[in-house]
Amino acid sequence: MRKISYCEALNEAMSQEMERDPTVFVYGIGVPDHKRIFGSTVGLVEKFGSERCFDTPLSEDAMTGFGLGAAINGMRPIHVHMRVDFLLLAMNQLSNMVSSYRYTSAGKLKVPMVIRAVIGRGWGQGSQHSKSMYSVFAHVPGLKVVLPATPRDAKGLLISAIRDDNPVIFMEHRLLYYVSGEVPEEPYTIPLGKTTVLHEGEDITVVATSWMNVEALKAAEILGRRGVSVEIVDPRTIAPFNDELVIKSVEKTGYCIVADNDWLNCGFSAEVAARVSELCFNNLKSPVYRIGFAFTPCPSTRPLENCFYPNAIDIIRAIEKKLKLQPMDLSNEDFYSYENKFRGPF
Amino acid sequence: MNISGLERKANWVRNQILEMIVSANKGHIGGAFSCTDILVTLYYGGILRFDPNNPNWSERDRFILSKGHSCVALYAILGDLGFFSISELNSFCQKGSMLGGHPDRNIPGIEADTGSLGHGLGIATGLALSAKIDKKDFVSVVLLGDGECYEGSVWEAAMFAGHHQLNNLITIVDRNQQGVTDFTEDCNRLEPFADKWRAFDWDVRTINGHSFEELLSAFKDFRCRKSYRPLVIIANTIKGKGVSFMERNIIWHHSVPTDENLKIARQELTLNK
Repeated sequence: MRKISYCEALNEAMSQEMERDPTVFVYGIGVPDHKRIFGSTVGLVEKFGSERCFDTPLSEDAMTGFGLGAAINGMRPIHVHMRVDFLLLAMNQLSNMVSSYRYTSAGKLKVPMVIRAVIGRGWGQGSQHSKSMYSVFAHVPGLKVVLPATPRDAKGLLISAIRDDNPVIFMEHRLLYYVSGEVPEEPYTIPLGKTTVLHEGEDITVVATSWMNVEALKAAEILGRRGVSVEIVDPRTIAPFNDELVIKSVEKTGYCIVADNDWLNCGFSAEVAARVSELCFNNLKSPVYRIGFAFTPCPSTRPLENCFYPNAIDIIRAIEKKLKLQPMDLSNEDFYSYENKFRGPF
Repeated sequence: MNISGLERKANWVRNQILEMIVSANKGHIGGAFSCTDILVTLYYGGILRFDPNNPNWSERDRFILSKGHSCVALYAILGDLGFFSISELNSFCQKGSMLGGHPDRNIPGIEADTGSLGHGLGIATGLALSAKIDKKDFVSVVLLGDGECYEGSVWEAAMFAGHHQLNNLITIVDRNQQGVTDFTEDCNRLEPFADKWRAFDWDVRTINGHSFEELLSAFKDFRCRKSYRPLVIIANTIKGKGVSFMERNIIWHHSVPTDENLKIARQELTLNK
């Protein structure tokens, strides 16, 4: 099967859906500009015109209300935010209006709206360009929250999100944009609320979100060489979160580590830990362990960033500790390869 | 400083901006050039009250660069005035430098961390109201981008300032007609811009933001305004002002000139000396 990047997969999903359904349109700051949301909206304005792909003012709150109005009138808006951080300006719309419209109208109104938001990362992104925040959105009933980690999931989940009659927050990690993988050419859907096993294993379960799946796969590859078999479960959709595969995996391995691309405090990792403890407490050989961001605003310098963000090394060390193994020599392993390659655009 | 002195200083600042951005290979050049003359007037035209040796002097006027992306212009000025060593300018956006791509309060002379747009006017209204409560005569000045005025928070703060009659608050809008991705009147029309401010009970002065005569005149009663209203100065400017190929060209929001472009930019800024 042909391989394309995560970014191209997002682009293809939108393009195919806009072709299929004339009610789908894309808007947001920078959507039709020269950088095209890091490349993900390339070609859309040329193909579908400025009525279906247009720039907006720096008015996140009002523009989210605009999307709500369009959605309840039968359109399928896709609102794009270059940074999750500034999506927070629309939190009132999202938590008080968009999320509850269908419920408070007794199901008479549908809100088929997708909000794409990019989680920033890379040299110097600092505290206002790097937040994940997805647990905040997942906390609100009525919002679906999707975190694709592979190009195949990016396309299939985005198409599902566009076709869904409910508001979906679709969160894309910036470093994933250049990850490439096999993606079918034809349109296809991956159901929202379906967890996947990214890597099968027997000894320990790692539940990873978004970018942390890349780190977990790296950890699994390295540990595999010393005979440790790691199972990686990617929830993909954290609201609704179907925990079935997580529970099944932990019942098999007896150990659970949650590697979240976020702060730990009140985050999605706590939700996973709670569910695992509630649903398979008797299978656990030790308490659930969580890995996430350092609990500070994100620093700007690279050496501090390396301390702030968890990575494959942290996962390896946590697994070794859980399984009571001696720390292996990692001096010849290649870490930070994406960070070192990344040159923007920011 | 007289007008020809201000002109020479503005040219020096633009040269500094260019070289700092080229050396860092990053920075927001277009918006820095559009507000250079405004900043030069404030700092060298005898308008703002400040003490480079005592940046936190309680009687200083408070200047907030709400369009924090243009900080490179302000850095050049603060360095030149001695708020910090001028050699620091060479380190702009380099490892270990205190001069990052957006301004923060670790830098002497910087009043607020900015860059995330829509926050400066709110902070400035707080400073202005507290000056009244404390019976201080410092003036709070905030420089907004026109694209920034799309944020609802700007108008919430404007309404508050109008209601509280904050005549010790001056807003300057760098009206360069462009945001990061588009021309303002194409993206979302701001006009009639002056009428919007008037409707919020502000005094409005509309000037050419590249004319030092008009800038000085707009600030002439800076500390002794008779009106009870806050004042907004709408400074019509040109994004990229000073380098012909950058002027009103959307890609020069934060591109970095190289090779031939750099040569031309240097030449044009030299000719203006």
